[in-house]
This record gives sequence, C-alpha cells and structure tokens, in this order.
Amino acid sequence: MKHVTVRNLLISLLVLTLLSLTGCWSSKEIEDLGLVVGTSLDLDTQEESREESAGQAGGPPRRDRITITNQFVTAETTGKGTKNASSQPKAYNNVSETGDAILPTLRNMILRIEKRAFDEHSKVIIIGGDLARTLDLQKILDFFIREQEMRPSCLLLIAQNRASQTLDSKKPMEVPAFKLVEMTHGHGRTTKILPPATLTKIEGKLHSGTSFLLQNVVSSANGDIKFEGAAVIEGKTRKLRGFLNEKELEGLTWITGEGKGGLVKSVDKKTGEPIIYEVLSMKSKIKPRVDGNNISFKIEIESEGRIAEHWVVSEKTIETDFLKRAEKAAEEEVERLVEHVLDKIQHEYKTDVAGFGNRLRIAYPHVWKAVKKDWDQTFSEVPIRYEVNLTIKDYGTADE
Amino acid sequence: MLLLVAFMKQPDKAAKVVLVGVFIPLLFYVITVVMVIGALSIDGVVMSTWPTLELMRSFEIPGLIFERFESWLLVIWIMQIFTTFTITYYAAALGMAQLFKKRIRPFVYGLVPIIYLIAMVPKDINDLFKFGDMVGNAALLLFAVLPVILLLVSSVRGGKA
Repeated sequence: MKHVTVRNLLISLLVLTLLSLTGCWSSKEIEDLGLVVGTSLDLDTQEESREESAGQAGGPPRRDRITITNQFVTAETTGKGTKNASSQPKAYNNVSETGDAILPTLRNMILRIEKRAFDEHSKVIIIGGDLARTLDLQKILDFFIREQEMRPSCLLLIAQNRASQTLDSKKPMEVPAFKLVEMTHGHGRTTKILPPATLTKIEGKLHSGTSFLLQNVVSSANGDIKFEGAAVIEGKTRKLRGFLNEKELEGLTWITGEGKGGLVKSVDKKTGEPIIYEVLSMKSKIKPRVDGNNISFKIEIESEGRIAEHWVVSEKTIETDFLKRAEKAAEEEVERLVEHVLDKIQHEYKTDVAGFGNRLRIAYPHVWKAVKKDWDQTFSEVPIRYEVNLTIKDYGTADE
Repeated sequence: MLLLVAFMKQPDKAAKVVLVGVFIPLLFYVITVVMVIGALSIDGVVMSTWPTLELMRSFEIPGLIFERFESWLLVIWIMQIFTTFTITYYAAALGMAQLFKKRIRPFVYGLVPIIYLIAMVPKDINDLFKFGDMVGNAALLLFAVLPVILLLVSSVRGGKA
C-alpha cells in the first residue's frame, strides 16, 4: 500500500519534470541578441538635420536632438566567432542614431542592426558635456531609470568632449565600455577618481535637487581615454555646471572622506625634496553649527598612512622628528587642496557637491527646512573651517 | 493568524505563538525599510514604483549569487505569496461554509472564479494600488473595529464567559 503511493508520487514527479524540460518560457536565443554594454548620449552637431526637422510646418516644436551610440559586443568578444578572418575583427560594434527622445531613437536602431538590442547587461552610460549643459539630466535619464530591462547598477559618467569618442578604441580586442567600468575600480587606490555613481544613487539626488559630482572622462584624438577630474551637476537646474580638475577632485575627496586610498605629495620645507604620503585610511566629519541665523561648518579630516617614498636623503625615517615634519608637510598639502576646492565650489560654481547640506539636514532639520530651497546660494556664503590631522604609522621596509 | 489560533491543540500557548509570529515578519520588514531607505535615500524611494526590487537590482557583487539577485528574491516572494494565499483562501472557504452551514468543498471550488473576477476589477496599476489600500483599510475595520463591537454586543447580552 505504502509502496504504491510512493511509486505514484515518484511517477507524477517524473512526468512533471518532463513538462518543465520541454523548454523555457520567454527565452531569448543569445545569438539573436545584441548585447548592449554601453550607451553614450551626445548633442547632435549636424545643423542640417536640425533645420530639416524644424522646417516641417505644424510639426512639434524644435528640440535639441540627441545622438545616441550603443556599444554592442560582437560574437568575437563572446568567443563564438570564426577565428580565420585575416584582418583582426573589432571586439565591439558601435551603432549611432539621432532623434529628439531616447526610446524612439533607440528603436530606430532596429533599422540598422539585425539583432535585438538587449539592455540587461548594460554597464555604463556616458553623457556628453554639451548635452549635459543644455538638457535637464532628469529628462535625459528618465527612460533609463524607467526601463525595466536597464539595470539600476549601471554607471553614469560625463564626457568632457564627445561621449561617443569615449566608446572608441584603437585596440581591436578592447571593449571601451568594459574598460571604463574597470577603470572606476581605481577609486580604491587614488583620490582622483570618484566612487562609482550608479543610476540608483543619481535618481535620489536628481529628485531632491542636490548638487553632485560625476566622474569626467576625456577622450583624445588618438583614441585614448582618461579620467580627468569631475563634472559638477547643479541641483536646481540638473544641468552640468562645470568641471573640477584632478587636484580639485583630490581636495573634494578629502572633504567627503570617501577616499579609500591615494597619495599626498608634499614638499619637505628644509630641502625642497618631495615626500610621498600614502593614505591607508581616511575619515572626515563635517560638523554644522547654527548660531541664530548664521550657519557655519567645520570639517575634521583624519587619516592614517605611511611614507611611501621620500627624496630627503639627509634624513632618516626612523627618527620621530622627521616623521613629525613629514606629517606636518602632508597636512599642509591637504589643507591647501581643501582650501582651493572649497573656494572653487563656493565662489565659482556656487554648488554644494560635498554633502554639507545633508549634514545640516541631519543635525538641524528645522534650519534645513528653511534654507533648503535656496541652499546652493546659501552655501556659497557659509564660512567653513577645517582641520587636518594626519598620522604616519610606518615607513615601509627602509628606515633610512 | 487569528484564524489559526482557533484550531490550536493547546490554545493556552496562543499568545506566545502569535507574538513570535508577528515579531519575525516585523523584524524582516524593519530591516528591509532601513536597507531600502539607506541605499536609495528618501528622495529615491519616493521616485521608484518598486523600491525593494529596485534595491535588489541596484547592487551587484560580481561573483556567484549576488549578481542578478532579484530573481532569487522573486522566487522566494512568490513562495511567500503562495503560503499566505493558501491560508487566507482556506479561511475564506471555511468561513463561508460555516456561515451557510454547508460542506466546505463547493465553496473551495466556487471561490476560484469569484476571486478571478475580483482580480480583474482594477483596470490599471493605479487602480490596483488603490484596491490594495482599500483591502488594507478593510482589514483594519474587520479585525480591529468589528471584534470590539462584537465583544460589546456579547457582553451586553451577557453571554457565557
């Protein structure tokens, strides 16, 4: 009796397994998919096409046209291509299309490629500086945030010149989109790269109207790409305001304390030779203070590190005096960086990109409510003091 | 939850069981809320339709499980929906059967088309959200207000214990 039940159960299980083996629902053959790994958005530069679209009477009002470039990985990258081609095939395939809204433009790519564009593996979106200057980022990114196929872990970068150039490479086997993503991992070893900004993080910032930074990519004519400083996005207009160069970005990383590693190149006062301080850990506290109507901030920066290199031959790192001197020199250098970038974001760009507003919101919610509407303006007039405290923990394997 | 208590073999342990049963999901939900708001910020949460799913989709640790984590989450989610559904469905059928003093079987099958039709009522996703809110409010009415009234009625009428 019992055996029969067990056997019946097993048989029905087998039958059910067979049912599930017949195939996958909503499956997509990988050969038929065009895997998009990166997307770049630019302002259209061709004036003729602009006039053409504007010339139609009774048509929609003229808009800025956007050129979108999708980077597809080809069969060669995925390792399925034929290897007997004499010229080395490129690992990627860039397809461009121009239009005034994102999705219609993307769909128009169907007219140019045979594969179904598949966004699930999209890693990076690069927005050209011109486009970011003229159009609200919220509008540009709306499709990418709304689309279900797009992953919110996609990274966002700003290209100082044309964004489509950053997706080009001279080396045939290199996929520029992957390269860009890998390059953002360098954040752990230098203060000149921002922590990766994913769509998720940007979404909230766009909505709350806070200013923020995006990593800036510069492409040169010979197909090289380089991370160079950061792009400042103004919270109110959600447009690109300007750029911070590498030095300024370093200073900003010290303010936010978001760096994980990096170097400080300071100069020894006595000899004029460089001493390199390598950051092992970095911490910063932004302390808001409110006295009546006066808001002020104090930044406390703390860091531990080591002497990674020094050219002061006459001194020995084993002596505490010298270490103290090196600490002092590095502190002064960091202070200089911080001062410089504060001046820039407060007085030139007038945008709070370092999160001062957020600290104020947490510490003094009532004050924040009153000032948040015009915060960037208020921020530009707020006094900020800072205190840098570096500790040199060791000096590597040479005590000279 | 309250319904199952009525079927317990040892009803004296009911309070403890209910408390534990409420506490575990409570803990999970609090953790979820903290995680979602911490990761997306309040402004981000306001903007997205499905914040929890958004969170699961937005972090990626290259490697085995934590890439594309949302598919695992959805599997567990559907399992959870199935368990809650079976309990409430059974409760509904049982309630109707006791109300009409009939056998339970016709009700178990009879409820299927009714539920299907009700599920078809909301026309779009906004309607669906409104419908969900309504069900939630109705639950408040049914499980908080109604029992109190019934208790009052029974004490006025002077029922036993």
